[in-house]
Amino acid sequence: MTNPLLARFIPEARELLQVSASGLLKLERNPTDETAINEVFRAVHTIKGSSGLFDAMALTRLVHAAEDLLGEVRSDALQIDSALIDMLLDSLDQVGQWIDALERRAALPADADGVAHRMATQLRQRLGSQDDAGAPAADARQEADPAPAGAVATVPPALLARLPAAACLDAFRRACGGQAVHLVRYTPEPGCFFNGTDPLLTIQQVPDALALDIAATEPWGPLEDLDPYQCNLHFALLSTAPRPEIEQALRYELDQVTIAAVRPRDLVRIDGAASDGPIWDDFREAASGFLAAGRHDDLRKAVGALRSVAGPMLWRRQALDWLDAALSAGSPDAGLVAALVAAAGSGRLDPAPALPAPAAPAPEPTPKPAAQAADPRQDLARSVLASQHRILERTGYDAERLASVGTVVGNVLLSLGRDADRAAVQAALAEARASRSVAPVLDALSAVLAGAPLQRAEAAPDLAGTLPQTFAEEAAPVAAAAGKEPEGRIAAKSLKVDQAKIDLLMNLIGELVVSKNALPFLAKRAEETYASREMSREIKEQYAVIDRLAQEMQGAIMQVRMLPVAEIFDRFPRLVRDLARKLGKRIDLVLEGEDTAADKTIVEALGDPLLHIVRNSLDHGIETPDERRAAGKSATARILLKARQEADSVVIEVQDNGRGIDPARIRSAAVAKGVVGQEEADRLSDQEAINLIYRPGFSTAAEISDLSGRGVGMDVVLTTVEKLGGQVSVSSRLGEGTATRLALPLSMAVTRIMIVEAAGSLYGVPMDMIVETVRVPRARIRRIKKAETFVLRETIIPLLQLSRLLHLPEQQQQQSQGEDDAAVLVCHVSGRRVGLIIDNFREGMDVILKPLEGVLAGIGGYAGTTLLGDGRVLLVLDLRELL
Amino acid sequence: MGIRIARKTVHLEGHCTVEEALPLLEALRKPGPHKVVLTKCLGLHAAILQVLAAARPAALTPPADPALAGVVMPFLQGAAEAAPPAPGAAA
Repeated sequence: MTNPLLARFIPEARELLQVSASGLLKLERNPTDETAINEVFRAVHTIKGSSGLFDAMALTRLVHAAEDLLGEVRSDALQIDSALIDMLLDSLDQVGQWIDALERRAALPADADGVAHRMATQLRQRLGSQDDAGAPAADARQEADPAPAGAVATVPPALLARLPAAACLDAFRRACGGQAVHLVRYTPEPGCFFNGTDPLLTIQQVPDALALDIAATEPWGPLEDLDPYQCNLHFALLSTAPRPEIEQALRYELDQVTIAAVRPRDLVRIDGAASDGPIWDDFREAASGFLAAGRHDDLRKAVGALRSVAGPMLWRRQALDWLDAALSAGSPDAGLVAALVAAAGSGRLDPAPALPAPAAPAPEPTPKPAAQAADPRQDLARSVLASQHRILERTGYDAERLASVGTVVGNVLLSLGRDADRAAVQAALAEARASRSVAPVLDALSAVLAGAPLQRAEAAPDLAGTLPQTFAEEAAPVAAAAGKEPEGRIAAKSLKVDQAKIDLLMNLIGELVVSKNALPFLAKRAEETYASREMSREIKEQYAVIDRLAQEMQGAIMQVRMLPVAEIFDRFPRLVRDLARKLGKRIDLVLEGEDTAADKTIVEALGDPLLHIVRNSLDHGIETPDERRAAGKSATARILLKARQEADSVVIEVQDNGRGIDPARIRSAAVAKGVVGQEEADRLSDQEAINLIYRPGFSTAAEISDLSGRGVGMDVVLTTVEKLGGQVSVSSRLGEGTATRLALPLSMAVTRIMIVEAAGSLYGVPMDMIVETVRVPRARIRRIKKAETFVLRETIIPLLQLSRLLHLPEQQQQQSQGEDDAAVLVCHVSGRRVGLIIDNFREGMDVILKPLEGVLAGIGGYAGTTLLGDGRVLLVLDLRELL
Repeated sequence: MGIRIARKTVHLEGHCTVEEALPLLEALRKPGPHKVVLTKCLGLHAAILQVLAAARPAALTPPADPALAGVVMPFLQGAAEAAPPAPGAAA
C-alpha cells in the first residue's frame, strides 16, 4: 500500500466499525440509549467522511445510507428493531470486507457498486417506510413528475417509438429467451452541472443501448426564466447489457438511476394495416386449442404456416411475428403467448403499450395497471372453459372425452395460477369417473366460470406497490439527515504508534537493564583490584539510582504494551448474539473486568482460545430454552466472561450455567475415539476425565456442526495457552454449568530466572518452573533400581543430574559428590515434580530472553540466551524439552 | 470555440461545453426567429441540449454526425412539435 492516507484510514475504519457494531448491540438491548446511538452515528459519519478521500465510491455510498438511517433513529423519527440492527450489522460487515479488499489491493472488488447500491436501497427503504407523511420536498417533486415512477417496469411509449421495429423485435426475442433487457431511468440532480457531471455524456456510456429517450422533467417555462445551469432533463434508455455492466457505467450516478428489467410483453409493438378474413378466425380457434393443451410445437407450426401466407404489412401478420419470437424461447411465457394469440386472432392487442392509432402523445401516459395485462388471457380462458362445458353437455359421459376435457381445463387453470379451482375440477373429475356421469364436472366448470374473474393474482401488485416507492426514495436527494452535523468530537488523548517502535524501546530498555547489571561487578573490582572502598561505595550508590530509574522505565514501557482485555472481549457480544440466534438459544453474555490489562502479545494470542471456549459453551454447554425450562432453569442462559489480575498473571474465566460436562460421557467418548484405553479411563477421577477434553482428537459431539465438534478446539486452546506460559483448567458440575479458567503471565517481555551452577558453568532456569530449592544430605538419596530419588515431605521426588542431562564431563560431578549435601532444584515440569541435582544455587535475575537464532536455532533444550552483567552469555534452559 | 453567432444564426461547432450554454441562451433570448446550425457539432453538453429544447429555435440543422443526431434530434424535434405555437421568446 503506497498511499499513506489509506494506510491510516484502514486501521481507523476498522476501529470505528468495531465501535459501531458494539454500539448497535447496545442499542438492540436498549433502543433508547442516547449515548449508544450518538456513538454509532459519529463512528459511521467519520467512516463516511474519511472514505470520501479514496476511490471507494461504493463504500461511501453504503455508509452514507447507513448514516441517514441512523440519523433518523437519532432524531426519533425511526424506531430501531432487530431487523434494522441486522441490516445495519450486515452493511458494516460488508464495509469491513471492503476495507480488507482496500488493504490488499487498494481498490474495491468489481461488484462493489452494485452491492452497495442494492444494500443502500434496502436501507433507504426502511427510511422511507416510516416517514411518508413528512416526505421531503424532493419526493413531492418526484410525485408530480409527469411520468410517474409506477411506469418504471413498463417502457414509456416515446422510448419504444425510438426503437426501429426490427431492433425491437430482436430485443423482444432476447427477452423471451431469458436474456434480460433493462430499462434505465436516469433523473440527474438539478444541480449536477455544477459538479462537472454531463448527464448526456453519462447516459451515453451505457453499453449495448438500444434506444434513448430524453425528456424535460418539468415543462419548459418562458425563456426569460430559464436557468441553463439547472438540469431539467431526464433520460430513459433500453439496454441489453447485463445489470453489473450498466451499474459500472453509471457508477457515479446510481443514486439518481433506476435499473429495472423490462417484461417482454412491454416491448411488443405491432404496426400495420388492419385485415380480416376467415383464415384469422380459424387460426384463433386452432391456436387457442393448442395453447390450452400446452402444445407449443403445434402452435409454432400453425404460426409458421400463416406467416408464410399473410402479407408482411398487415397488422395481424406482425402480431404473428411477435408470437413467433415469443414461441422461439425455450419455455415460452404462457400469458404472453396467449395475449399474442388473442391479438393475432382479434386484430388488436389489449391493452396496447403502443397502439397503431396515434394515441394522444400523452404528456401523462396513464400508467397501465399491471393487473389488466391478464385480460386477454382471461377472455381466452373463459371461452375455452365455456366450450369444454358445451362439449361435455352435448356428448354426455365418455371416459376418453372426459379425460381430455380434464387435461384442457387443468392446463388453462394452471396457466392462470388458479390452483384451488384446478384442485376442485380434479376432484369433480374423479367423482365423475366414479359415478359415470358428467354432472359433477359440469357443476365445477360452471362454478369456475361464474367465480371470481380469471386472472393471475401474483406478480402484478408488487411491481406497482414497491417500485415507485423505491424509485422515489432513491431519486430523492438525501437531505433528511445531511443537515445534522455530529457534535464536536472530543479529541482522543491518545497517540497511535507503530508497534515496531515500542518493540525497539523495549529492546533498548532490556539492554540498559543488562548494562546496569555490570555496575556491581565494577564496584567489586574497584574494591578488590584497586583497593578503593570509597570508589566502590560511590559506584554502588550510583547503581541504586540507575537501577531504580531503569526499573521504573521498564515498567512504563511495559505499560505502553499493555492492552485492556476489552480488546478481545469486545468481539464477543456480536459473536454470541449471532450464534445464539442461529442456534435458537437465548443467551445473556456478561463481561466483567474488561479493563484488566496484559501485554499486547498475550491479549492478542488469547483471542482464538477464548473463541473456542465460548463456542464450545454455546454449542455444547448451553441447552435450548425448552430443555432449560424442563430442567427448572430460566430460559435465558448466562455466559460470564471475566478477567482479573492475580499477582503476576492475568486470569480469564469463561463460566456458563449450561448442562455441564458429564464425566461418564467423556470417558466413553474418549475410549471410543481411542484417546485412552478402557482401563485407564476407569481409573481416572471425574476431574481427570474432564481434562481429557484437552487431548488432541477428542470430541463428544455426535455430529460436526459448523461451530464446533471437530475435535480440535480444546486441544488448540491448551497448546496456545501453554506456549504463552499459561495454564488452563476446567471445572464443571453436571447440570449446573462449566467454568474454564485461563491463567497467563501479565507480560512476556521480562522473564525471571534463577542462575544455577552445573559442571562449572552457569545456566538459567525460568523461575516459574521452580517449586523450591533444597539441600539434600547425600545419605537421604535412595536408589530405586537405577533411578535416584529422595523423599520431600512424604513425596517421592525423582532426581536427575543436570550435568548428565547436558552431557557435561563426569569428573566435575564426582568432585561435587565429595560434599555432604546435594543442591536440588525441585521443578514442576509438565505436571510432574522432578529434582535436579546441581552444583550450586546463584542469584535470581530479571532478563530479556533472546531466542536462539541462526545456526543455533536447531539446538534443543534451551529457551534462549541472555547477557550477564560482566558480559558473559547465559544459556537459559528449557526443562520441558530437556527432560 | 464551440459557439459562433452570425446575426440570427447560431453555429454550434466541435464539442460544446457547459460554459457555452449561457452565451447560447443569451443569443436565443434576443427577439426574432433564430436559426441554429449543428452541422459541425461533434458533441453537446446536456446544458446546451436543454437550452435548445427550451428555446425551440425556428430552424434547426441537425449534426452531420449520425450518432449524435440520433441522440439529440428526436428530443429537440419532439420539443418543437410539443408546443409549436409559442416560438420561445420571439413573441
